[in-house]
Amino acid sequence: MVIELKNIVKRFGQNTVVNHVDLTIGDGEFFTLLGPSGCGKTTLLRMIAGFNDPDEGDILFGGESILHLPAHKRDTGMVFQNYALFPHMSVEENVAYGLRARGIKGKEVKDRVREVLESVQLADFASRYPRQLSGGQQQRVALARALVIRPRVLLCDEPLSNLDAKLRVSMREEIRRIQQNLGITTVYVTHDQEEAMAVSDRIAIFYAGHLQQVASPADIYFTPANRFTAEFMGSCNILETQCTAYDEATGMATAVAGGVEFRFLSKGAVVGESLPIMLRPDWIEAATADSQNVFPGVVRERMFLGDSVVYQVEALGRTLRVDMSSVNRDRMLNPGDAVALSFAPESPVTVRK
Amino acid sequence: MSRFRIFSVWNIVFVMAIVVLFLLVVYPMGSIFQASLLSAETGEFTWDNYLSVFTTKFYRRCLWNSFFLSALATVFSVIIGVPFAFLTTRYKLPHASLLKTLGTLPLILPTFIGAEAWLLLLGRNGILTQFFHSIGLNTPSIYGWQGVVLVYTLQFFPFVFLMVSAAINSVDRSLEESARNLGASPWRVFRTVTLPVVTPSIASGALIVFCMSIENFGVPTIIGNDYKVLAEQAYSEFVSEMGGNPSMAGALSTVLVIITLALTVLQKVFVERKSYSMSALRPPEILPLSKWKTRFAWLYCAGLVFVSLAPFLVVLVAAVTKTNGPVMYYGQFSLDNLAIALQSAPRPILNSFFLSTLATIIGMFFGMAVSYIVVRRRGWSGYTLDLVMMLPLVIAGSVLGIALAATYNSGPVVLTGTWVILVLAYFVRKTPFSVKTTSALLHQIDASVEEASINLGVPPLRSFLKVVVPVMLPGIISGAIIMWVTTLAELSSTIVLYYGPWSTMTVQVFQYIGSGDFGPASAYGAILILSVIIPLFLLNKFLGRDPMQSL
Repeated sequence: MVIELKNIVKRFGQNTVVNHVDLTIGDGEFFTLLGPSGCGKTTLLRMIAGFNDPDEGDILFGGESILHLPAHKRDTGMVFQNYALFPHMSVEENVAYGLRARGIKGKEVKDRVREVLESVQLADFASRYPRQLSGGQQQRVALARALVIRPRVLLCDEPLSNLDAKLRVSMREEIRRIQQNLGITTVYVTHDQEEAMAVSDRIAIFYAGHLQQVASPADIYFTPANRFTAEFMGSCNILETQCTAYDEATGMATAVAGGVEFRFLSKGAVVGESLPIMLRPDWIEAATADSQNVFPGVVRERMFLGDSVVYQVEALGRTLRVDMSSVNRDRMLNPGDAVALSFAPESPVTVRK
Repeated sequence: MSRFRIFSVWNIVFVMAIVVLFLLVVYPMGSIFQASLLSAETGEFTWDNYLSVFTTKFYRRCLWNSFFLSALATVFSVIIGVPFAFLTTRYKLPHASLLKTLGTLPLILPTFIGAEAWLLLLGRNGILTQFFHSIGLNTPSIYGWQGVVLVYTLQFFPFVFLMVSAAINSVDRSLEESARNLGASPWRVFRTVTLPVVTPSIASGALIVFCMSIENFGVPTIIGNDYKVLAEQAYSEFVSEMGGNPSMAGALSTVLVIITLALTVLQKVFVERKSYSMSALRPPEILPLSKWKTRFAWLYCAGLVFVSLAPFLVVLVAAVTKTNGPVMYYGQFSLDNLAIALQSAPRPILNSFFLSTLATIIGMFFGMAVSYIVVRRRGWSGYTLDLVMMLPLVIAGSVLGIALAATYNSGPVVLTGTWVILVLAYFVRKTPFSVKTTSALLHQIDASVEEASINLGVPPLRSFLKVVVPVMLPGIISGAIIMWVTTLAELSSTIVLYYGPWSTMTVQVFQYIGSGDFGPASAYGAILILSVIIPLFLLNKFLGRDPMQSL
């Protein structure tokens, strides 16, 4: 089921929470709306579900507008942040609820409930009540309840935010696996960028009601469209440089920052302009003999994370975050160490906005 | 658009609710306010009625008396209610839960029966009066302000107890623990952490006691003797058709409403802002006390419960005792009084049950709808509805009765002098209880539970019935029972609105006390007490709920 959002605007009083959003979500796609809290992503999801209506624009399922349909006729399966299980019904009754609302009776209800509970590994918990289940189990019931009706689209509103870190990782894998098996179009809302990258085919980054970038996780990570996207998706260093030369043929710019001259790829740079460039912490390395863009620094802090080490390095008149692999224990730097750093000319992303 | 669609059913309900409340509360109150601004003789606009409330010696006396009684009752309720709350909630006492349940009971028992009970004990022919007299001692007189304050205090202290006890339980244990951890002594913790956190609830409880006292009509009439109060005088002005003065009744009523309203607003502005209720994860530890302290504390709590409930037992005994007017022959068993109530004049009993049941059923459905709108609809509409719904809580029963009687006395709809107006008055006065118990539960159900049901294909109204109502059910039942029992015990509005054949048990008790016939008064009183206690007992036993806790 292809979902199209056309020029959606939503205001609450004076606040425009969703501002002219256009999106097309492909059939079977796992699509994530990612952004900080209050950015309008949940409102957008609720508009798809029919709990809010847009002030302007249209929402289409498979080419047909669904705005005239009330929420209970939209045939979407929604997983709520707090699961929203019916406290007075057993797991089985919760899951069967949507089937019965569709007039399905008897054996078919039983079979479909059992089948879906097996797929989320809860077959043995059918007669339990929500309060007797752990958070992860409740979450799986909520997912089963949304899926059993075979909805046209699956909507997830921060479904994992109430779980602990470990469970969050295993549950997101499970959701992704089930989604892939069913091939169901899924719109997923989260504020956790790691979670978004792990599950999504594509991500829409949302901020202040505006779409900032819509792309695959890797594209957003490696080529963020703007500073907000760069900073929101992973950690980054922004280096303000001054362009001194530009080679049209290669797209290489020469620019100065902190008294050091750098050469890097920045298509369309203009001599004299300031070029803010973004460097992921792991794009900065310890310089070797044939490194380019070498600059000196002094280690100020070290944080050991097991598989990697995070250094705060004073360099170019500011503090940079530099992530290095911890493979070689002897090569770990200590606070106070002077170090020569470098980055490849192809790495930096120019983030003018 | 979608708000319109999702709530289209609820829009209709909302408008209906507002119209009903307007007709039964706002409009009648407006009319007596209007009447209060007109001269009784000429019908012209005047402030004279208000002036005379403050300048005429008699009315000023009533105003002062009302304040004095209510303030004293409030102070005493706090003094005895706060220790009761701390001792039963924080410390290990034998049968603490029984003490708590019994401790809430007085506020559901009719106050005018409490007044009668104290007359049976300490009145002129009282059993204790005679006992002390026989051993040569004189008891202090129960008549006048002392008796009224005594009855108020013993019946209203549970409001303070309930509020404070709820506040104690809503403070997470970690708060006191962190104070201890920072080096504070237990006494310092109590003084600097526990008490300040609980103080707003003391103020809330005190406010309820004050409002309940100042609007009370039966107790001062029964044992106040010449000690007249506003609520009583407004009624007298209104009913004495010959020398009565409707404008004056209106002015007295308005003054009474303004006092309670002003206090409630003050409480909302200054106290609720300071309220620190947290969703307690771990309620405070229940501490053991040393052997002697336990005995002393238990004696205090059990003694208080005994003193506040024993008088009602005396009424039960009096109901089956041989009587002759005000003279009771204790020890001589007789069914005469009950026979009068049950056989010769059963109509008031049936009236009471019929009217209460009808008002409760209407109030139950109305309260369900209103609490849903109030909890789920943020913004001006829900707020307005909440405000209008809760308004009757600050209006004295006699005042609302006067307002309804005066408004529907003539015009297109005449209800005064019919049983319908009694049902409407009960309904509007008691539904706030239902709204409170129901919304308390509704607050715990996230709106998403309902949305989940809609999302799964069930239309909004059916989703409400299938998902929300079952979860609210305990609150609906508790609310209905509170409505039912308090309606049975309702005197102040009944006395204004009833006519001939529609007399109720409460009116009977009141009139028999007035004529000094304590036998039949006790018989009706006993039936009333049992009708109030039995449903509460059943609710407690089968639902495991103490309905008063949720108010």
